[in-house]
Amino acid sequence: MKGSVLIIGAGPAGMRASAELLNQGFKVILVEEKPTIGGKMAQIDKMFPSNECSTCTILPRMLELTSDPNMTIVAFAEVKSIDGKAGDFKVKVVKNPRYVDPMKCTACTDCFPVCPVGEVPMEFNFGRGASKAIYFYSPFPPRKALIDPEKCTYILEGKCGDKETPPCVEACKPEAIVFDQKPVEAEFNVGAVILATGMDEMKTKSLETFGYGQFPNILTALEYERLLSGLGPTGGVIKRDDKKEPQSVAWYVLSNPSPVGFMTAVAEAMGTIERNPHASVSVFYEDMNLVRDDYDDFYKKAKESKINFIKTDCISVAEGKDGNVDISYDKESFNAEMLVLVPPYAANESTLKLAEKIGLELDEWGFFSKKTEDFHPIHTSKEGIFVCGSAQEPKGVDDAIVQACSAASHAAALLASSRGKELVAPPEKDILPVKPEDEPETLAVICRCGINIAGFLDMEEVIEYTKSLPHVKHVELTPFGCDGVAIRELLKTKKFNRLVIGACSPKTHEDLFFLHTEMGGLNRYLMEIVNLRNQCTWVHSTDKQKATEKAKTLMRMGVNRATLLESLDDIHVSVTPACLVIGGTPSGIACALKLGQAGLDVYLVEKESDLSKAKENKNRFVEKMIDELDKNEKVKIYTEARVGKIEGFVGNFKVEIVKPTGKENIDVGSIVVATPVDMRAESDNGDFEKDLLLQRDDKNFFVGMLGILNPLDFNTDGVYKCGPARKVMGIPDAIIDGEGTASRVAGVISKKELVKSPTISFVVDEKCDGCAYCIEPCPAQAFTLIEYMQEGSVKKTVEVNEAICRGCGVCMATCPKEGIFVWHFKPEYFKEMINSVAGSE
Amino acid sequence: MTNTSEKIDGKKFMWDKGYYSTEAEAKEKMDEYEKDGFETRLVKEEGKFLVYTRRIVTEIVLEEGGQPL
Repeated sequence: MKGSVLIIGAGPAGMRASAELLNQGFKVILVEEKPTIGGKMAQIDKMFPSNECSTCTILPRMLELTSDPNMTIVAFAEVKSIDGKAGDFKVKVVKNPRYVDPMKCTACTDCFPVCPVGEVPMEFNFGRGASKAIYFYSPFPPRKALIDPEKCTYILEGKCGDKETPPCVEACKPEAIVFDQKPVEAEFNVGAVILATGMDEMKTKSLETFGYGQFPNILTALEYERLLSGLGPTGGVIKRDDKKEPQSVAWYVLSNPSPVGFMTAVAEAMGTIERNPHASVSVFYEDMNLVRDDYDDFYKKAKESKINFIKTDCISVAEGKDGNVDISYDKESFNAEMLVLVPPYAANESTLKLAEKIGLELDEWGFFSKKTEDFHPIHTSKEGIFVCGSAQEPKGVDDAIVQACSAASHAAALLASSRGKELVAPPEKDILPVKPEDEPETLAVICRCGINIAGFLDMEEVIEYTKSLPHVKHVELTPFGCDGVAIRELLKTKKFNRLVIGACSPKTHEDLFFLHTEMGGLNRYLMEIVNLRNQCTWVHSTDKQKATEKAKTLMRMGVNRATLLESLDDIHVSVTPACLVIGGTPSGIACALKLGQAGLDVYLVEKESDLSKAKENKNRFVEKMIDELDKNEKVKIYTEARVGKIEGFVGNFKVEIVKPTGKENIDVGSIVVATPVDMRAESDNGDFEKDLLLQRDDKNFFVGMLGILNPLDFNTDGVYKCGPARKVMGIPDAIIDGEGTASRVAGVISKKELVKSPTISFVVDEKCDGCAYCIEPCPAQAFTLIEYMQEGSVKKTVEVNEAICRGCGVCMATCPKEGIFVWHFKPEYFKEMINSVAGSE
Repeated sequence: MTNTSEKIDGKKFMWDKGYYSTEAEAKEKMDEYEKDGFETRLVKEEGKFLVYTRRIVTEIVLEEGGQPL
């Protein structure tokens, strides 16, 4: 059995399956046909039903993956063949030529302005926006240039410009341009394959019936997303091809069994109203197919935003005056300045080609299908090859994430005996020892961020000013700080013991900059990020002078704070390698079974006397799972039992099981709640919901962690939910939910220890008198009040549970005695930053 | 310099600020504390014996005129 998995498709499902498997101890090869990763999620503005920004959500995940030493991303490549069997596949992959060596390209963009071939339509923007013949495919990683061989003069004619050497080659200092680059074949030997090739809009001839490709200002939904996106060809301002900003936009959702089409139209309509509250926005639809309560809530919110929803069997479209569109429906007529068509989704071309190459069966819509007696949506017609996300059928991002987790759990169960065997240890860190009393010697790296920062500031002025700040020894300008090249190279000289990065948002990039700092040999907590982008150029883009002044102030604040920073070490928490699953529902059973198959210890607690007694379990697929569960030595089932008191924290929970014969205590590292919605924990035996700080919404479902990428997580670390605990769902979805949760759990209990950030609270014993004001406000309930003896008297103080403290700082704000601070966020740091603004330069 | 608090067995213990010359002396003090419900730990430092104690408070009463959030 090999200990690695190959995943085809780097959209949200492929990336999430990668992250889950890396977290469980498997090596991952991620193959993507486009030059950059992200899939459709990288092209859309906001996601339904949470309305979160897609880029802000996905970019940190992309950057984490690109930095993991056990992750191999093969972009701009196609799978040629898959031979072998489950546990031992040989996959041949062909890498297409970029005509640029990605190992040498630093993304400096010096080659772009000198390329004489312009006005090349951008595929990522569906033909809108223009690039040169040498370009970035998208703003997303891997950020490496590539050359379009159908546009490049040198490739087509053997000559470019007046000189013998093409201008791009002359401009490229790393000598990365390789005109004779050929396709390269590589073979990977893996244990399992996951297909996450996504879906595409069905741009068939029927769209022409509605004027697409015939009349101007008629787009598809994905094309419209690029207009909404801040990284799109119009910078997030909705403009027609004639540059006019439309004051009336209509959507037509073509007949579609999936709710994805209607929800896409609703999300885009909401985005349009957000940008222009006075615009007339209408959505024509045949069926909504709103299968989820939260989809229904999103639609209701859209109605309140004055979006017109018009139910109609069909519309007809004619070209109107001035580029407008005339729409007729149900004997009514309507004029819009732009029409967006939302076609049904189908498997994309690459899925169809791949299925043919590797001999997989497809259904009538082109999605991967399976042997008829095997209902499982994740299975394909070949054992060891799994499918997830929209490659299985169209779905929203959160459903794709759950399926990705489920696919990961299937691969992990298959390869359980090989867990960890192929992992590469991260490179040894040679960290510079820095004592608090050492004189600060600061390196400032200022990022151009393409034009996001450099286009809106006087960079020379900011650089010269930063050089003048106390303790700054060197200032470096870099095109994209996120690639880490300049940061690592300069830190490795060991000349600097502080790093200030003038770049983008810590919210999206802190983890990545932490990683670059450490790879450069400096403790990560000696690094300070100054947000010159989101907090300066993005909000002051119309006034370069004022933006530059603000940038200088922000750099001053950051440099001054950096001088006070201290080295901190991560906290290590041991993990009990076992899981508790509460509830013998189909999802609870599926979760327990997958964990058992993955070789991990599980305790399943069920209140009925027999798992098959519950009515939802009277189903042949569930009965088969129960049968397998009974035979799995890793699973211990408690029937006629309830969960009593739970104490502890992630990695170290102590659980009381209440049985008819008495109580039993068990230790687990993680807990899954899979109970039916009408089952409450509170009883004479204890209230685990209260013990674990779980909350329910007004429909009685458990409230989870915010964010579309966290559908299975609670805010309480190490505790997860699935199936009926989350929402109403049928048995196949409940099983996938449970399996997905198994992957989340395995990411915790397959490790010997968890590494936690040291930015948590610290009690200053000399100042703390045990007044206890910090205890009740703490959202994590991380404080315990303790008494002690000192010089003959009883005194009080508080104790912080380091494993559950989240470093939120509420205690620091509450304490009247300055008796608590949060490491890396000491009050004196903030005082220094405020003085930097209020004081003189 | 002696630490006011020490983490022992994963728990925070506080020093009673006494230096005990012998282990027996320190243990006598520990017995006294334990009778009052304290957990105790003994630490040897530079030839002297130090006693650390803790007792969890289950009922929390805030001072009057409590600090507003």
